[in-house]
Amino acid sequence: MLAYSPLYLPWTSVTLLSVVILVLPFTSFLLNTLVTNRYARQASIASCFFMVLSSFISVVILLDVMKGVPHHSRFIWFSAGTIDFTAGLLAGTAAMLLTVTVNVVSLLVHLYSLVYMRDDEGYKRYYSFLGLFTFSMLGIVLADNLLIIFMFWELVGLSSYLLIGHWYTKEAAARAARKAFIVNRIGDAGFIIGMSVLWMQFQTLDIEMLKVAMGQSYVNDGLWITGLGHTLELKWLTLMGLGLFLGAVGKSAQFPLQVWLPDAMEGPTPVSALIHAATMVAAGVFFMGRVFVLLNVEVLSVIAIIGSITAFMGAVAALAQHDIKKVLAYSTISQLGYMFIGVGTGAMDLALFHLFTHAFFKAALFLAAGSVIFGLHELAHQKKLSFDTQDMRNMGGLRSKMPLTFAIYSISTLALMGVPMFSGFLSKDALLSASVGWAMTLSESGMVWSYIVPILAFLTVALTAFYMIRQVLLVFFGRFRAAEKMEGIMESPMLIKVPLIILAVMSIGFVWSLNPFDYNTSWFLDVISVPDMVTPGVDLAIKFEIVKASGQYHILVSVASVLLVILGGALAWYRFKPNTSYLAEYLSDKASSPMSRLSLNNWYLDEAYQRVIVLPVNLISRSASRVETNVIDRAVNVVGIVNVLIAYIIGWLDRNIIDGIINFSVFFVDKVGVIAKSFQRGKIHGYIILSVLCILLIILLIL
Amino acid sequence: MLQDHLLSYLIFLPLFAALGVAVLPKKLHSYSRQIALAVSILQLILIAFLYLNFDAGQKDYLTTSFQFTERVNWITLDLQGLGKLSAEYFVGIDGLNVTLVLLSVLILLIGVIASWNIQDRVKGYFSLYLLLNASIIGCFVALDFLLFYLFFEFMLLPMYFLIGLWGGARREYASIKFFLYTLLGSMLILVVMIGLYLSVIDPAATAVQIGLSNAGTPVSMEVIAKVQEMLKAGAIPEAQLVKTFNLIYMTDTANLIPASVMDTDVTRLLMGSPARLVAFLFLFVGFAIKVPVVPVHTWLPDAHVEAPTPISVILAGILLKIGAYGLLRIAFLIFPDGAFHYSWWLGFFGVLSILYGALNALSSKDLKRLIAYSSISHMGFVLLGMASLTAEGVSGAVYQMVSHGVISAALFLIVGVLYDRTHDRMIENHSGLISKMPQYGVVVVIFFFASMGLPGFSGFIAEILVLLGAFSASGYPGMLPKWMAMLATLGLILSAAYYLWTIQRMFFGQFHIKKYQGVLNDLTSREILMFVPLILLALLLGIIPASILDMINESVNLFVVTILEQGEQNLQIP
Repeated sequence: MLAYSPLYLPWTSVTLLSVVILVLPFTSFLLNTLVTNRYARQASIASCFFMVLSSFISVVILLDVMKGVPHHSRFIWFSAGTIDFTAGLLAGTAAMLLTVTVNVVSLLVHLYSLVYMRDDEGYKRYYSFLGLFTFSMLGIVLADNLLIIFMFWELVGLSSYLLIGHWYTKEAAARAARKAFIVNRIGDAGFIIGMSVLWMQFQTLDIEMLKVAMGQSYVNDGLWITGLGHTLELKWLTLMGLGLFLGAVGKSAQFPLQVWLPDAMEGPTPVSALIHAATMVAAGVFFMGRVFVLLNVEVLSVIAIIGSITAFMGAVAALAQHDIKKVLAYSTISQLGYMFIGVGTGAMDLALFHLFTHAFFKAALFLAAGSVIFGLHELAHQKKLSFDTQDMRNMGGLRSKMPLTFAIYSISTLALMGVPMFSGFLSKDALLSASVGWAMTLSESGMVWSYIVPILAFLTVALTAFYMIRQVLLVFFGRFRAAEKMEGIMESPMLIKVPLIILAVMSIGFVWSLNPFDYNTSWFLDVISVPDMVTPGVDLAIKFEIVKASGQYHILVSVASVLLVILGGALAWYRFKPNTSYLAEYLSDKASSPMSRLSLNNWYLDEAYQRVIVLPVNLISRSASRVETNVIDRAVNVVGIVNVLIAYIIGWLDRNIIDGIINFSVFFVDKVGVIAKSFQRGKIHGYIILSVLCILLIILLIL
Repeated sequence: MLQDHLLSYLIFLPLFAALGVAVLPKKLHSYSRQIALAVSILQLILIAFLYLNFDAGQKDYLTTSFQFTERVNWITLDLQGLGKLSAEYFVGIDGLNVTLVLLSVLILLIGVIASWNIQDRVKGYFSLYLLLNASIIGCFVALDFLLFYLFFEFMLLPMYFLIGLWGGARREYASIKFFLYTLLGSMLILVVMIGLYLSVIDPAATAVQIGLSNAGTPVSMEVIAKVQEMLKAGAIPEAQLVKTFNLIYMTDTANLIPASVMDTDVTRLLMGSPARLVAFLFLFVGFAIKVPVVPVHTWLPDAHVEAPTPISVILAGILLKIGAYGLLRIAFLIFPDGAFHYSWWLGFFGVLSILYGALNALSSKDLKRLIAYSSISHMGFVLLGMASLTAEGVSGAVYQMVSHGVISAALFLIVGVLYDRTHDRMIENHSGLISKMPQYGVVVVIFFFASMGLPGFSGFIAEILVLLGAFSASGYPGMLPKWMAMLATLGLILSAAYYLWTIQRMFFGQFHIKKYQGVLNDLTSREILMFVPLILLALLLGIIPASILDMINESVNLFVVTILEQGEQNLQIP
C-alpha cells in the first residue's frame, strides 16, 4: 500500500545474536519467577552466568558493528486494516555500545547483589525483576521502531516500579513506586502524541523509514506536507518533537518531571545504581539520539533550555541533602540535564559521550554508597543499634575502616566533578564547549537568551564540586557519629569490591581518550557521529558554525571549568572539613537557612504539584462522583419516581373513576332494567338485549 | 454437516439445556452445574471448529463474506395493502462478530466455573444462566433485525432475575434500574426497527413476488438490480413489495422504498433533522445505554455492585460488547450517513466516557465500583475508535472489545475472590493483602497493569490502535479534532493513577483488615483455573495481535470504506 519498501529485511547472524542478547535476561526473569524458594540462590547464580554470556555476545557484536555497518532486520508484526506494522532489530554502533554498557553494569549489579541482597526475603523476586529490567532496557536500545521502543519503554517503567516497590510493606516505598510510574506515564502520554503525529503524516513508525519520509516532506506556506500528501500545520512538527521529548523528560527525570527520581531511592541500592543512575534514566537521552534527525530547531532549543534548568535545579537540590543516596539522585538529575544540553545544542554525540562516562562513574558511586550502607547495616545489626544507615549525619570517618570504598568513591567523585584526568572531565568539558559555541552562534542572530544555557551549565560545575566534596567529607572524614566506636565496621566482601574496581577503572580519563585533556582525541567520538537532521526547515550550515565556535573556545572553557571546580570544592572544604563550627551547626540541625530548605525540599516541587495537580485532580474526581450521585442518578431516580407516581395515579383513576363508571353503568343498567321490566313484564330476553346495548353504548361513549 | 448448522447448535444447545435444567427433578438439582459446564465445553469444541474453518478473506481485496450462514423463513405475513412481511431466522458470522462469538463462549465457560459455589436455588440459577448463554450467542450471530431484537430483549429477562434474586443488598434497586434503562434503549431501537421495516424490501423475494424469478431458485444479481431499478422508478405496486428485517438488505440503500420513512432524502425532516439522522441517533442512544456511554451509564455501577460475581463477569465481559456491536452492525452500517455526520459527537462521548469513568474510578471507595467505572472508561475507547472511521481505529475498537472482555472478566473475578473471603469490598478496609495472599497479589498486579494498557497485554494494542486511528481521523475535514485523541491519552494516565493507588492501599503496606478475623486463604485451584487462561489470552493478544486482526481486517476495511463512501453520498442533497 505504501511507498516504503521492502518491509521485510532478512535476519543476519548479527541480528540473530542480538535476539539471543534479549532472550538471555528474559530467560533469567522466567527462571527466577518459576523456581521455588529453595532454589532461589542457584537461580540467581545462573542469572549471573546469563549476564556474563550476554555481555560477551554484546562485545562481539560491538566489535563487528564498529566497522561501520549497522545490521537491520525487520518483519511484519501485524496488519491493522490495510497498514502493516513492522518490528525489527537495529544493531548500530551507538546501540551496541549501550548494549554492552547495560549488560556489563547489569552483570556487576547481579554479582554485587549476591551479597547485598543475600538475606532479603524477596531475593528471588528481586533477581527475577532484574532480569525483566535488563530485558526491557535492551529492548529499547535494540528496537528499530517507535512503537516497539514505546513498548519496552513502558516495560522498563514496570520493572522500575516493581523494583522501587521491592520493600512494599514500607509505606514510603509503595508510594515512591506509584509516583515513579505515574510521572513516567505523563511523559509517555507525550510520547504517544508525538508518535501519533508521525503516524498521521507518514503511516509508519519505523525509524529508518521515518528518516527517509521526513527528508521527503517539505514545508510550504506554513504547512507541513509529506510524500503521501498528508498535510498538517507546521506547529505539529514542533509539537511532535516536543511530545517525544516529553517522553524523554519523564524517563530521564528532567524538569518539570524530575520529582520521581529522588523518591525512587526507596529501592535497593544496587537497583538505584543500575536503573536510576546508569541505564534507564539515560534511556531518554539515547531515545532522543534515535529520533534526533526528526526534530526541528525549536524543539532543540526547548531541549537545551530544559536541560540547563534541570542541571542547575538538580545541583542546587543536591547541596543540602542528608541522605547519601539522595545526593547522588539529585546529582543524576543534574548530570542528565547536561546530556540534554548536548542534545539541544546539536551535539548529540557529546550527549551520548557523557551518557557513557556518567553511566560508569555514577554506578560506581551508587555501589560504593551501597557498600557504605551495607557496612553500617552490618554494624547496626551486630550491635543492635538503631539509626538511619543512609543519613550522612550518622556517618563520618569511614575512610579508615573502608579504604577501598573510600578510594573508589573518591575516584568517581573526581570524575563526576569533572577534574582533568578523569572521564567526566572529557565529556563535561565537551558539553560545556558545545553550549558556549551554540550560544555564541545563536546570539549572532539576535537570540541572546541562549546564553542562559552555558551560564547555568557553568554554575552547575561549581555546585557539583561543592556537593560532592561535602558528601565525601561528611561520609569519610572527621569523626564517626552513629556510635561511640567504629569497631565492627568492615570493608565489604569481594563480590562487592570487584564491581566497584571495574567501574572505577572506567572512570579514568585514559580509558576514554589517549589525551585525557582533550575530548577530541577520544576514540568514542570517532565511532559515534552526529546524524544530519532531515527535518524540513533545518539549516545544516548552522551546525558547522556551532562546532567551529565550540572548538575556538574549548581551551578557555576547560580552564574556566577547572577554576569553578576548585572554587566549589574549596568552599565545601572550608565549610565541612572536620571540626569546623559550621559542621557542628549542620549536624545539630541549626544551619537551616531558607536556601538550604529550598535545596532540601527540591525547590518545593512536590508541594507545588500537590497543590497544582494532585489536589485539583482529586477535587475534579470527587466532583465527578458527586455529579454521578447528585445529578445523573438523581435525575434517573426522579424519572423512576415520577413513573411510579403516574402508575399510582392511573391505579387510583382505575379504581375510582373507571371502576366508578362501570359500577355506575351497572347500577344505571340495573335501573333501566327495572324500569324496562315494569313495562316489558318479564320478557327476559328483551331485558338482556337491552342491557347489552346499554353497556355497549356506555363503553363506546367512554372510549 | 456441522458446518451448516454450527451457529444453530451454539444457540440451541444452551436453550434446550436451559429447558432441561428447568424441569430437573428435585433430587437431581445439584447436577445443573454439571449440565451447564458440559454445554459450555461442547460450545468450546464448536467454536474451535469455527475458528479453524473461518475464512478471513484475501488481504486488501475487500473480499469478505458471511460464513456459517443459515437462513430459514421464520414469519411470513401477507398484510394486504401494506405489502408482505418477512422475517427470517438468519444467522452468520463475518469479521465483525467472529471474535465476539469466540470471546462469549470462553467467558461463559469461565462464568460457569465461577458459579460453581452457588448453593442457593441452583436449578433456577443455571437454567437462567443457560438462557442467557443462548440469547447472547443469538444476539451476536443474528443477521435479521427482528431476530436480533428478540435475542436482545430476551437477554434482559435472565439478567434481571439473576441480579434481582442472587444479588447483594440493594439488588432490587439495581435490577429495576438496569431493567428500566435497557427498556428505554429497547424502545428507541424498536421505533427505528419499525421505521426500517416500513422502508426496506427484500429484492429477491420481491422478484419472486412480481414474477421476475421462480420461487426456490437463487435469484441472480441482474434480477436483483432490475428489481431495485423498478423500485426506484416506483414501478412495483405497494401490495407486491416484500418487506424485510434482513440486516444486510437494510445496508443497501437501493432496497429503500422511495418516499418511505428511512429513504435517503435528506430534505424529509423529523423533529427538525433528516429522518435518517434521527433514526441513527435513536439507535445510538439505544445501544449507548448498553455500552454504556456517559451520561446514560449509571445503571452499570449499581448492577455490578449488586450482581453476583459470575454475572458481573458476564455483564462486563460480554453484555457491554453487545451495545458496541449493535452500533457497528446496525447503527453504523445501516445509517453510514449518521455515523459520518455525528462522528464528532460520537468521539466526544467516547472521550467523555474515558475521562469521566476514570475520574469516578479514582474517587471510588468500593473496589467493585472502581472496576465498574474503569469498564466505562475503557469502553469509551471502543466508541472513540469507531467514531474515527479509520481502519486502525475500528480495528482498535473491535480489539478493545475482545481485550476488555478478557481483562474485565478477570478483574471482576478478582473482586469476587476477595469478597468470598472477607465479605467486604471497601478499599480502605484492606491493606498489605499481598503478604498474606501472594498468588492473588500476582494475579491482581498482572490484571491491573493489563487493564491500564501495559505493552505485552491485549489492552495496549487496542488502545494504541484507537489512538492512532483517532489522530489519523483528523486528516479528514469535519471529523474528530486532534484534541480529542490528546485528551484520551489523559485516560491512560488516570488509569495508572487509580489502579496503582489501589494496589498501594490494598495490597502494599502492612497487612491489616478491618472487620474480619478469619483465615485468609490464597487462591484455590478452581480460582487458578479461571485466571490462568485469561492471563494467557491477554498475553497472547498483546504479543501476537495478528491472532485477532487477521480475522477481522478485511471486514473492517470493507466497513470503513462503506461508511465513508456511503455516508458522504447519502448526505448529498439530491
